[in-house]
Amino acid sequence: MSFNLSERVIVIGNVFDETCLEPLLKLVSKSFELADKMKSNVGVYIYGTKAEYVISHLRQYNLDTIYLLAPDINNPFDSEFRILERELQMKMPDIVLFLASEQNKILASRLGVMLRTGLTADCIDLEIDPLTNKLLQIRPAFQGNLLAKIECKREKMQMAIVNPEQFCNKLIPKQSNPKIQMLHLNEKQLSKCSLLESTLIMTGNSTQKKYIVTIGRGVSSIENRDLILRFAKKIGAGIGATRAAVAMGLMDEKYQIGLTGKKISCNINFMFGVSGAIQHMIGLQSVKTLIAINNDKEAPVFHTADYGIYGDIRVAADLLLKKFESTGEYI
Amino acid sequence: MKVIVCLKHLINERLSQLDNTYSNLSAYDKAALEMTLKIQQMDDYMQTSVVTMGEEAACKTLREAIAYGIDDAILISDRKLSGSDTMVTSFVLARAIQKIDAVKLIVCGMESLDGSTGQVGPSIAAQLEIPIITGVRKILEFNNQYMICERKIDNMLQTIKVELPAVITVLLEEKYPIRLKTIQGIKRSANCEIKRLNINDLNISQSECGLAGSATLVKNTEIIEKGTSRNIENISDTLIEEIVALIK
Repeated sequence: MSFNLSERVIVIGNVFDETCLEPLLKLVSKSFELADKMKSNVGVYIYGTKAEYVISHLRQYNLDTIYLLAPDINNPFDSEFRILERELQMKMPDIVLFLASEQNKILASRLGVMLRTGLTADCIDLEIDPLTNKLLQIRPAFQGNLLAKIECKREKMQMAIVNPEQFCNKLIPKQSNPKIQMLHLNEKQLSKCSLLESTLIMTGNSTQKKYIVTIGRGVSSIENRDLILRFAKKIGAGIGATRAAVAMGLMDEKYQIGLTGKKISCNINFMFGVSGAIQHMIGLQSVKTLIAINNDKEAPVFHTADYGIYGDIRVAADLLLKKFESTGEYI
Repeated sequence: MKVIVCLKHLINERLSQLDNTYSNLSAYDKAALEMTLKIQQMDDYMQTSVVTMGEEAACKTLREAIAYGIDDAILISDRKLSGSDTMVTSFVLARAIQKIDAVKLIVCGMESLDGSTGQVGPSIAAQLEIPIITGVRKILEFNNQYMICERKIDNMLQTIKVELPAVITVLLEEKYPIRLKTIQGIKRSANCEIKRLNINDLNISQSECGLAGSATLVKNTEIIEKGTSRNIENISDTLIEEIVALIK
């Protein structure tokens, strides 16, 4: 990477929590892979309450410049949008990648409309089309039964919101000292929104992991649950729950996955005692490999699982835990 | 004062029959509909409209909204709109909304159940250049000038005062199911007139909409074989070994 390459790939990260670091690094790593094929550099733009923390980690990688979007107290709802609108118009990058978050979704949608460019939501993979040199945006559709490859028509500013859980962080720490450039809103603008109150809520953010272990109703007891959670901890997995498990009091609501909970996009999802109700399965569209463990042979989950294990949940969890305990840590 | 709710008529039967009600509305859209009806009750002079873009069959969903208590319905339907991406969809909806007088609020679901992009709500706001508040769970105050609402975004719960007109998307929470249809509503829904708009009515050219107007293009799709490649197996050492190998 040299200093004279322009930043044709841009990454925009909204970091509201320390758990945003891992997915951000994965996305930055992927961006370098794409940029290498285009003989280009990567520009990383960061905003959010944990920006300082994230930048302190990003510094050790070989970036030329890290851009920090300065929060504007007078205009908390518009400043990032205005700054980025200006930056993108000036740089005219080929690819703009947004790290998936609710706030970034609003930002991406607004920028997409303002800059009249294509935007693809919730991509789980990205490639460069060898023929057209354009960005291929890969996302699940129709309840995860289809993978759609989407391209933007224009070559400039191909935008995608990305769930990077399935990527690997291949960044190598190097002795480097990137410039941190603070970007401010130039013009004073009155906002139509004002924030009256703001409280932090527990989100059980552990779903941004490579592996997820989900607790369903079939787990049925606290002892079984604790055994499975030990297994999750052993493999460094995030934790999920079905609505039924929450209703039974086995798990806290913040872990709920599905229609009224969160969506996940991990590599492997271990589902213990999950029956497979469609309300739950909707949250799993982007999961790569589903492993279902259930003591009900007729459970609908077996129709969609990649591995269906029939038998006592406790026995299965015990075996898995023992196997990993004997072979060490895999985090 | 007028509140508009934008709904999507689902065509996938398996999806729409999720709750055994034979409705083509998703739970997300039902939450948006319920929120609209709550606002309608706040003020006697509040008028509500439902707007959808889709085929003629979408009239069923519009009539359903009327049965719940929405005042009138608009269907944007045109062959040339097929293949529209989220940007074109929001552009067309925004054009239709601009034709309606005294709109104070536009209510959408968090996302659709089939496309699940969640981009249409924020994009409508961007097209109209008005504020967007996503994930709204409660409206605390609503008047001619502004609205105060509570919303969830990422790891925050916020109370926001926003100047109207604005767009909101409604958070889906199981605590607030949709109300029952009213008898008057059901009667009215059967024979009320649905206003129809095509792209000429909205002054949209063919090159601005449908596949031609969209900024994204689906290059190809790939069917994922799920659950068919393997049989259900009993717990065994070899199977566990195989799974352990996946993680290494």
